[in-house]
Amino acid sequence: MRTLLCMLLTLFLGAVQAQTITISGTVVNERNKPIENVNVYLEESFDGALSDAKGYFTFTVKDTVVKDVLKLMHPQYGNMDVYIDTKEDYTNSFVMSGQDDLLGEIVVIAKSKNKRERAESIGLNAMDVVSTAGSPGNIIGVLSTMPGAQTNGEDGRLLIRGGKADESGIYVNGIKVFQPYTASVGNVPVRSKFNPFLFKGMSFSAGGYSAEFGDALSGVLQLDTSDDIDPSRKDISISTVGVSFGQTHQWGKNSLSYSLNYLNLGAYTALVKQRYNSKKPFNTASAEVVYKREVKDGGYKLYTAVDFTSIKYEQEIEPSNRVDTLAFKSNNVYMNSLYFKKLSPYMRLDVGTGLGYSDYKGDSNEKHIGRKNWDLNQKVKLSYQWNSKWQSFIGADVQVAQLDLTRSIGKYSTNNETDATRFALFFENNWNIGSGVSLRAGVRVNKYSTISDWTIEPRTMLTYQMDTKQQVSLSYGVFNQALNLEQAISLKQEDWMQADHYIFNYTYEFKKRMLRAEVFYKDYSKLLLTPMGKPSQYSQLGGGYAKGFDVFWKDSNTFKNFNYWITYTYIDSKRKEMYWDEWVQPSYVAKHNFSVVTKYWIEQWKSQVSMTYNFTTPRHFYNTDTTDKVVYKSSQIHNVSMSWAYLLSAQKILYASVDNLLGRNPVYAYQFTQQGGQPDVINPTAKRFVYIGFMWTISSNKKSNQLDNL
Amino acid sequence: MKKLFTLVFSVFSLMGFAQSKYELGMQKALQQWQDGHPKEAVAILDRVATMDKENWIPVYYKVFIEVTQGFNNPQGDDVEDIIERNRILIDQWITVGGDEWYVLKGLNETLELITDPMNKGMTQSPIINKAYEQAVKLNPNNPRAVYSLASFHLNSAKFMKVDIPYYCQMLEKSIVLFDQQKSDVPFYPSWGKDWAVKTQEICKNK
Repeated sequence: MRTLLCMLLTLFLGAVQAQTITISGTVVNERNKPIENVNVYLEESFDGALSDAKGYFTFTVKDTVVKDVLKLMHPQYGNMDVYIDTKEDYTNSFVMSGQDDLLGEIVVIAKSKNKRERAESIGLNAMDVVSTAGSPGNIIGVLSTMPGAQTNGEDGRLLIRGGKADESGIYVNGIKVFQPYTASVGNVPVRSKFNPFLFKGMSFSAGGYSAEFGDALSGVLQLDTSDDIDPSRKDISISTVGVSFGQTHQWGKNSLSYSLNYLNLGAYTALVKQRYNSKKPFNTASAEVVYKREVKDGGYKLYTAVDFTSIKYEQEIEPSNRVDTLAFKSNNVYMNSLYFKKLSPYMRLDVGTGLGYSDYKGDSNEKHIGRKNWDLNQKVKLSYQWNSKWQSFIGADVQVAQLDLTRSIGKYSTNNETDATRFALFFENNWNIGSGVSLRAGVRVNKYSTISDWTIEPRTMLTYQMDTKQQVSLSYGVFNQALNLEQAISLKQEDWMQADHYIFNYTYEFKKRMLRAEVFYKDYSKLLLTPMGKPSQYSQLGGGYAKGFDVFWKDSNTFKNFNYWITYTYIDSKRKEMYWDEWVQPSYVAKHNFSVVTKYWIEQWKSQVSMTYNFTTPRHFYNTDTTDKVVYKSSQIHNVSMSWAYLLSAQKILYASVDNLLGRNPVYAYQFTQQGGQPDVINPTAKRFVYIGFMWTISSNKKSNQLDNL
Repeated sequence: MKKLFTLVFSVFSLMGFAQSKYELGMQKALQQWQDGHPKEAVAILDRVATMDKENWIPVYYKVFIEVTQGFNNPQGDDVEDIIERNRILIDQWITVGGDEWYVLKGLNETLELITDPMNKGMTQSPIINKAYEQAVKLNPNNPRAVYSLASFHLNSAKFMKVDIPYYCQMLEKSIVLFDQQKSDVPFYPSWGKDWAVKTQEICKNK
């Protein structure tokens, strides 16, 4: 009994002597969900704690009495003050309500790509482009290793999920690019014209894209120049095929960059045997200028590109042994300007203008084509952030295009002029509904000058974020496209061509690894049918579909200094279009596309070695003479490319790359002659392509006198 | 680079005499950090910053702790968010804070670089270099600025050819400056000498 009393006494005394007060509680939001990481503390002493995942916090104060303000602080939920006057332990529960506006403002300023956007498109940067073997500086080259994308050896343009090249739209700062590729004649593959370093990000969407864009049945590629002003520097590059010089000058809140390039394949083709006989080697002189100015709460960006390109060559075609004489001359000017301003913390205005002029003269034996294009695109977009969960934009998009086309064979010549105006209004909402569900819903209405009806295109995407790593999304959209102007010369278009997209996406991301799988179905209708030999009996009764899936795995973490990605795309597509009045697999489609891209950094050698492997199954070709029912199959493509970048110093890089390392000679395509008989085959123009270059950057800050100043 | 930043440094001028509320808060924060509780330290710094809105020092330490934590685990899931948050704070304070904040900017951008050196090396290097050079330009006697510039180049020697003797000389200069540094402002940044001495090993090995 006595010992018990002693024990009780000591316990009691102990409690008194400790003189501590415990303050604890839980923090929840209006919906009774716990809030994590609330900074709870006493104003005077800074004593406090952070709430855990259950919203619970506890801390002790070494004092006999607490008379203080208990402050609760959270970046999204704001601040809350509670006065406390207690001599005993204190427990309470707190409800904090969201400060929507605060978060919203940050979203508009940073304009950061949020997770919901990532599901539909894949982001790339300049380094992805230049460090991928097989695509030295060609944006389209690296895109061909992305899920849903394909390029064909004899063509080089971007094809998206069984779509033709002109079903893909390319945009710079949200403005349409009218001539995104270098000019071509015969079977010289084209390249993208853009210097990847001018863009901070590239985002590629293989379908189901936003209502902001239209007139592309398959997908869009968006390129964005960075909003920030660039620091001053000079760049020099010398390679086996040309030279380039670039400079950036920064003053105050302005920056001006220009780059001048001259490319001539003369020396290279003289040294390395080609499968054609060069009369005048491929040469191009081009210039790009980027001007940026920062204004209060906004900015102005101007991008201008000019290029002059020509080539003349002779090529013997097998098996008919015909010798083709081919030549072209092409001059292009493109201007793209964007003005953006935050009208209020929640409202942003974007005004963009694109202007293009191109003059192309092409000769193929006795046939001549002269093409002059004028294009204008004007776009206005207003974005508004209602609160942290709801964002909308509305805008108008006008495109005017003019074409002057001259076609001649020998002495006979025809000249046609045509123009077209496209007008579109778009409106889109992004809702974050809560518990991981978000909805993007938009609509675009289009009017084309020669088509009497307006089209209404709904576009939606529902995303469910299962946890921080996984999400699924479902998209549906209607996409319309008018015929291109060249086709519009010979026929009167009465309706839009249409494609409906259905896409299911699953994305799993963890620690810089990404797995992305997509199942798609594309339903084409109202495609153009032009019966062989009876072009006047055209109709828009054609149709088609493309269905399949793609898988993309990118890993930048598992192996030290080793990055890789693997892509596989399966497309099952059939169409009734142009002179194919039966359902056939279109000639430009390859059923299976597989690529592996690897990049390895070797520390001892201060080098990055990259290797790319592409595999494509044969494509199908059909004789224009429909009595010939034979399906001509092109070769399987196995292409291995390698590149080596050696860093001499931070400013000097030595670069070498080999395309088609194995030296294979596949049949890319077939060409059918009007006389009938065996079709001619199209092969690569050379076995391998070797590129060696040296890049040198001179930054304006000279280090030589730094030490003296210290 | 990573090992360098895992060094826990202990040069704090913990003052024992009469304290203002601000000093009390700062001391509690730095004590937590020293005891290996960076999260708690940042929470306290947030509290102090709320009280003293004009002072850049609590925010400076918050960013500094976040960055050094990032260096310990550059592959962490939230590192990119942290870098982005730090950028916003750095933009806010850089004109007020001057040279010390340019050093901080350089550190934060270095963190971005080491999350993926292979792909980000080329684009990040000039940004980092410029931040440190600007810090040196604003205050040629700031030992952290001189040290950071030298150390950045010496550590890049792994990836490319660097004028090592030149930057070693710069590093030595920074150690001299470290010994001379003094400030009347309580909790003014004073870190760096240990790292500078450690970095000298690169020079000795050559």
